[in-house]
Amino acid sequence: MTILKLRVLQALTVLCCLSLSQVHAQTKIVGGVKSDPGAWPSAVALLNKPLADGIEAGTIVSSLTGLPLFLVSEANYQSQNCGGSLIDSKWVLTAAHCVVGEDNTVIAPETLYALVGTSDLMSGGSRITVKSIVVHHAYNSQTADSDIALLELESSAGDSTTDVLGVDPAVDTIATAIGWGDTTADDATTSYPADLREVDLPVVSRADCTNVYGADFTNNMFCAGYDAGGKDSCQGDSGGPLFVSDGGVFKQAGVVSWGTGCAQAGYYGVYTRLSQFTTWINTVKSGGTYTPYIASSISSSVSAGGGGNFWFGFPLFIIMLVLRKLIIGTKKRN
Amino acid sequence: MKLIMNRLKQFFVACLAGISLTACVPESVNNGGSALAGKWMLQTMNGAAPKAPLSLDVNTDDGSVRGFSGCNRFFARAQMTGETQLRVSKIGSTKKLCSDGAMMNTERAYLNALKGVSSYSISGNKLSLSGSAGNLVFTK
Repeated sequence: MTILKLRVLQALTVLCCLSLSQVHAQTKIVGGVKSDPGAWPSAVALLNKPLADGIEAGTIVSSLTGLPLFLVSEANYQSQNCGGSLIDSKWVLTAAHCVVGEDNTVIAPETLYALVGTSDLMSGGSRITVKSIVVHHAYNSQTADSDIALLELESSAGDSTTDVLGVDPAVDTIATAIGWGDTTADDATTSYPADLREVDLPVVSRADCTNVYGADFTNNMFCAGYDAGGKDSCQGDSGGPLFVSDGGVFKQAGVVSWGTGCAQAGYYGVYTRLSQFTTWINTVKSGGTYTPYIASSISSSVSAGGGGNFWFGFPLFIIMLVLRKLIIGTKKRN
Repeated sequence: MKLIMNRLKQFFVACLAGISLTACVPESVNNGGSALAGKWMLQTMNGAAPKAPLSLDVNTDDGSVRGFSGCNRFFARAQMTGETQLRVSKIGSTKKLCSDGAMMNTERAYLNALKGVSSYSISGNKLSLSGSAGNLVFTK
């Protein structure tokens, strides 16, 4: 009987480890490593507040069983949707697309938590509510241009902040992206870690990035990654920081924004180019006056019916009228 | 001779008028592919209605395709060949994670379906995209 109990215990242990491995097996942000606790103290996880609160209250339940879908301890893990960085005790830098809805309006600040002070979504850290959200006025949801936003926190998150680099990192500089995003590169599977991950990526030349992305790559973006793929940021890493070492001190040069797939060969990750936004960041942080973001129904389909090729036809029509006058005028003089 | 010159002048004027009028006609008459232009809302993916407003915004001037895939924004390139063939490539996407796992699955399926598109058809205000990864039906 004792042997039987032992065998059952062994089987249960194996099953338990297998299920945990679904979360922790993949070692990378994609192609990266687990960060040492405390390595990136300015890292922030943005949480869906209603979901986090609901999990803790036990009100997020299965429609089939009526039982809670998640453990209370999973509240942060299950509700994380973006990353961010603490650039001031009460300001978090993130991507605009993390806080702008499908209708181009800014989400309500009360729907967010900023989780600070931990690298483990399953334990530790402090949740701080968001007082206000400032999206860059030039943010274009259709193109991800100017993909940057600042969150003002209701209370101080401490002084584990990071500085913005302020200049473009040189090509081939090794930058480090961090986040809790998907660690798998393929579309068929996903794996979201509870522990913060990091990956080193070389900064790519603007020419090379333009060759890959064409007009989708704007002046407010830069690329990092490998031609061969294999290492990249991925879904869940949006809004998180891309750091470079500046004299031995890590400073933030970019914000995770978008890319074609994750870690795909021939495609780089695209990051918000923070060197273009240092004045805006400092203005907002210091309470200065800034241009507000205005939600608009931006459409890229300029040829949607009716207009035709007016700017070709109109000058030609004028030329036709002038020529007609010349011809008729000549005839009258005859 | 004068008569011939007058006729030539009239013909020349008529040609210019015709060219300029033609240029002002909506492109959808001259180029059937331009009927694709505009914002489309997904109604069904492989026969099932999506749980979020998934969209597709096609610009036939520059071949760009943009939209919302349930959690993230995406941008891509579209290449139309003839009246029915369509390829969507270089699909870029923002990197937000939806807390709703089912929505992330929907998003992946939608983007995969777009990646596999090979043909399209338009009937009234309904756009159908077909390909190796599924069928998508949109309306304007």
